[in-house]
Amino acid sequence: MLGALFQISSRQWLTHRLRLLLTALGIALGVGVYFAVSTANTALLASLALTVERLAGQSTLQVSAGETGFPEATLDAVRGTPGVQVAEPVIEVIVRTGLAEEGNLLILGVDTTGDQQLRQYEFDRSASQIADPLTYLAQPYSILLSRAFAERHGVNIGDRVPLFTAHGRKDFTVQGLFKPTGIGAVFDGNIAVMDVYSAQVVFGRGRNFDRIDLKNAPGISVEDLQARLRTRLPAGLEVQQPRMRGQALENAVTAMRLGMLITSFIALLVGVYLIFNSFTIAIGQRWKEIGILRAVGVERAHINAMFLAEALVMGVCGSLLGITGGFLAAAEANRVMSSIAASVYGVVSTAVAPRLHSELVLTALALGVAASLTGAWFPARAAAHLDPILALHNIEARQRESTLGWGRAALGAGLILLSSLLVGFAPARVGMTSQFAFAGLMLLGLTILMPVLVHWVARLLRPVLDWTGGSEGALAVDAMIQSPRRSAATVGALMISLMFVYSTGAYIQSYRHMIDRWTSRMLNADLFVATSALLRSTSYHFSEDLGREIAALPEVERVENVRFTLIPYRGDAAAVIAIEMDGFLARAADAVLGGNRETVRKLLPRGQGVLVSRNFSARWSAGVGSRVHINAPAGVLDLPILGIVEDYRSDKGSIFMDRGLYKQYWHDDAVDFVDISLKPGASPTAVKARIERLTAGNEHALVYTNAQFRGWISGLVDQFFLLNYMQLVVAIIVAVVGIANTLLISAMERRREFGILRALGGLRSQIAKVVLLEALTISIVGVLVGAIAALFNIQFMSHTVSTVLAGYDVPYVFPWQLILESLPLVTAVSLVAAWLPARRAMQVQVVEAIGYE
Amino acid sequence: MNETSRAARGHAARVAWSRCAGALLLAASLQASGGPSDARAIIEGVYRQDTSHDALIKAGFEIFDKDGHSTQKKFTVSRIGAPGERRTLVVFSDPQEIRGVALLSISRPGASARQYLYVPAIQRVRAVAVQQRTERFLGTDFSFEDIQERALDDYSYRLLGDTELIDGHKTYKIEATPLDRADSQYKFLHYWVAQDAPVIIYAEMFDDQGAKVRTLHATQLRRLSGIWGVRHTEVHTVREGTRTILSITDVKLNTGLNEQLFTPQALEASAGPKTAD
Repeated sequence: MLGALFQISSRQWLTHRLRLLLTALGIALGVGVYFAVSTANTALLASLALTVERLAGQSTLQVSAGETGFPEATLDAVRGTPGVQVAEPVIEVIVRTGLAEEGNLLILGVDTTGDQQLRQYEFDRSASQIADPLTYLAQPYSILLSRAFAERHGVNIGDRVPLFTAHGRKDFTVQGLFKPTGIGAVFDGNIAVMDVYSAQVVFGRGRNFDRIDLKNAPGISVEDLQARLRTRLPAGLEVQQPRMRGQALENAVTAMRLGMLITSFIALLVGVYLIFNSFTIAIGQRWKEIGILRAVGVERAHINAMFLAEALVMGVCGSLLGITGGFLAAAEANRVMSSIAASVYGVVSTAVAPRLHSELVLTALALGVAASLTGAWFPARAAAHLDPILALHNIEARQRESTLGWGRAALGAGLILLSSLLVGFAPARVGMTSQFAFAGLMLLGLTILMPVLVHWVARLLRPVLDWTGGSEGALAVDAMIQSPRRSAATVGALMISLMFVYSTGAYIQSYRHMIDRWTSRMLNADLFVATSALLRSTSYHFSEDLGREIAALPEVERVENVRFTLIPYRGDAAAVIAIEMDGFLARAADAVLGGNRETVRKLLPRGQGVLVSRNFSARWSAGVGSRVHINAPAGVLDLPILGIVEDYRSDKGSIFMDRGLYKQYWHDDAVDFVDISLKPGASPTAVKARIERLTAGNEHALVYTNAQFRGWISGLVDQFFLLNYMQLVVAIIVAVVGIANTLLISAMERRREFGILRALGGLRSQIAKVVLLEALTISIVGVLVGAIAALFNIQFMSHTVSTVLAGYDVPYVFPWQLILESLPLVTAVSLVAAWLPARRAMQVQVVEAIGYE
Repeated sequence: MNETSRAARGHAARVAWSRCAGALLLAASLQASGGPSDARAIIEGVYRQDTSHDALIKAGFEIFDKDGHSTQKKFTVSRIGAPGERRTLVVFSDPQEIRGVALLSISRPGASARQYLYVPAIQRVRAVAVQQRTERFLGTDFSFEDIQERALDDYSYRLLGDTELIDGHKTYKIEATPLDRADSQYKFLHYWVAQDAPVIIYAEMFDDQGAKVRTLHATQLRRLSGIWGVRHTEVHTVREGTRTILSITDVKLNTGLNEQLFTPQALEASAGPKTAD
């Protein structure tokens, strides 16, 4: 029986190949985005894991203290701990090279005399040795390079490589080349090794180490040794397994992965609408066929199975198409994600090419099939429950829809209300899955409400279309009013896409507004000198000498040295921004929110209190008057919060303290930014040029005027939102495919109606006009309904998504301008998408069309 | 003849530089030890002939790569203390880039030696980690195991012959086999000890597969204050075709060196005891 039914289905779909293709495309798009993102993400995670594994070597534990390092005496304490088999010091530095067209180089400062017990090095010149170990140890500017890097630059043993150090640009002598195995395979070879004690001097680390890598002795578990070390070492030190370091990197790309996964699910959701639409129409066309089948004794379950089997085949076809496209796009997605990960780590990630993972293929296939079956579920049920007598009746009688009940409207509105309450008031700790479920409720509510919305919005538009479009306009709108469910799928697909576009746009707009407020209030010095083209460099710093040299320029009024670093805080991390507070308050006192201004002025420069950023305050529920407790290398700091400031440099939250206090407790006088205030009348551009001349060839210093600095921050925000822009592009493509799909199918479905119109004397051009005006109406309704959906979704993004990902919410901004600007664009796209259906409608032959069912 | 070790394990190893510039240089008279009764006694005679309190030695390495290109390093060795508790300081003088670099080794009875390196460019003393025994010592053909003088009791000895002539010296050929394989990169070693002087004048080292890894050839035997030694030692790494020549140009024994100068603190304070260059 099912075989015979399948033959009937096949014939139908072969007759409607274009519809089949467009419907499958709807599924393929969602599956493709999901598969590309997941494959690229798997490759990126594999790359991160490989990097961490190779860098850690045989280390089972790592001791660290955020980015600030710790005194080298800690090494003796670690080595003296029972159960430690090997413990080796590490300084990890990402430096900018002086070579043309070369990015950063990760330098691992290790004690090569002992480190080979932990890490794999394989040198080229002899089996396992540095060319001249004594010279390597004796000359601090000695370096061992990966062969890959050396070959890229034609560098050999004995040659010199320029690198930027704490003492400016220096030439390092290559003392050995290691093979592309072990650590030599990390970061595509952008890795070098030098002596750890030389690295202390060259990179201004004093007598500190960044990390100690260690291995447990046989007979003691890693966990037991970890616990033992935690009790023996000072509180400010972290003892972690190396994979936790990989976890931190993974977390850094989580937001990006999540964003793209949301995009893929949005695309899949649109796919569900397309399938729904396609099957609703197919069933409408095959009504009589279904009636005959039922009349000859085919059971309801078989009818249901026939349509679900069709959906299954379509889901499989669409999914396979999506998987193929997704895999091809994975390389590009991997490149984008890797570049974002590289901006987190500082050097390019270790190359791991995307490859097909059977579990991802199966998941993608399952998602595509599930979307297809979901979309076809209700139409298939409707077909199965068809009354054979009605089915064999005339077409007009069967197309009459049931009235749009208040019950449906109430259910839809209730779900939207419930979702809004949950999004607005549920705490972030309920988890991302629950939060997404809340957003899902809203979409469900809107879907249920969709025919009602379409009906009423179409009614509102009727006079306008009647007036502007004449009888064709009225006919186009009437089609929607009389049969809102038919248009609901098209509008629904459009709504989902536009809702996503609007809410993402609103989020970006809101974030930009916050950044502008921050930069105008806090970053209001005249000139800025930075160490990196990224927000900061974790390893390259200025010395205070640079600030002194700049302060000596006659046009300079005041200079503030800024240190920006991450420290361990309450089992997590927080940023510390150490700045000369007298100078900061002189220019940015208005930026301090809450607290007593006089108290701030009095206590902050003395190091008797701190300011915290808004996200720090939200993250740790710490307001003005609360205390921060920090285990610093030189002792415990317990200070009151004197005020809150807006600062978005770290998603972990920032603690602002006086630089003197920081230097006292961290023994660190490195400088990441120099903020410069000029005397009245001085030209920022001229002083910028002088500073550039001052630093040329010595420091890797980027000098910005205030406008340039804010532009630079804006550029970084753009980079941050690069992914969102990509999501917007996908959403727009989804919208276009959705519109084209539904309009084409709709035109085919109304072939008989157009035939009747033609028989009544309607011109071909009038038929085309009806189709085009209907597309126009759908686009207007789609924009309106999309805006309504965005109204709720913006709340979800600005509150829930932002709090979960960034630790703070962003102000609710409704993107009126974007919605208005999108209207002509969406209309144009709809009209273009409707062009083919309009042409097909024009070509309808009257006799054939009236007989068409 | 297959001998097993008998003596107590407290006999400490003499450290790297004692080996390079000392052990190969200073040897007691075989006749003084009463003549060879077995292979172990022959080796014991080699190890125990040095009775000096301190020594000041000028020496140099010439390291040849597989293509025959060579680099040279000159240094002085100051050594103080009795076997097993010796302190040895090597100060490099040439070439310029390693001038002033000093390596201090402190032997301890029953434990591995501690080593400290002073680097003038960063003006600090650092502990040098215990090396893997297969690693080359400072780029020479000596491995770290080679320069750590072996404890007599860690090997079993077998006399393989007593008729071979090397450089005009009649020799004893002795096979030394590590008692604990985990303690050595070598499966066994062959020594040729001169019968007219308690000095190893030729040696071959073999790996797990029985393949020859290194050869050592000592020439220019000298006797100073009754202690035998060699002035020229050439080590050849068979597989890689590289070799190193250790040349000793001057030896002074019992010059009254101050023990206080052989500490890491003294190194950091003054870059080590000043030695004649």
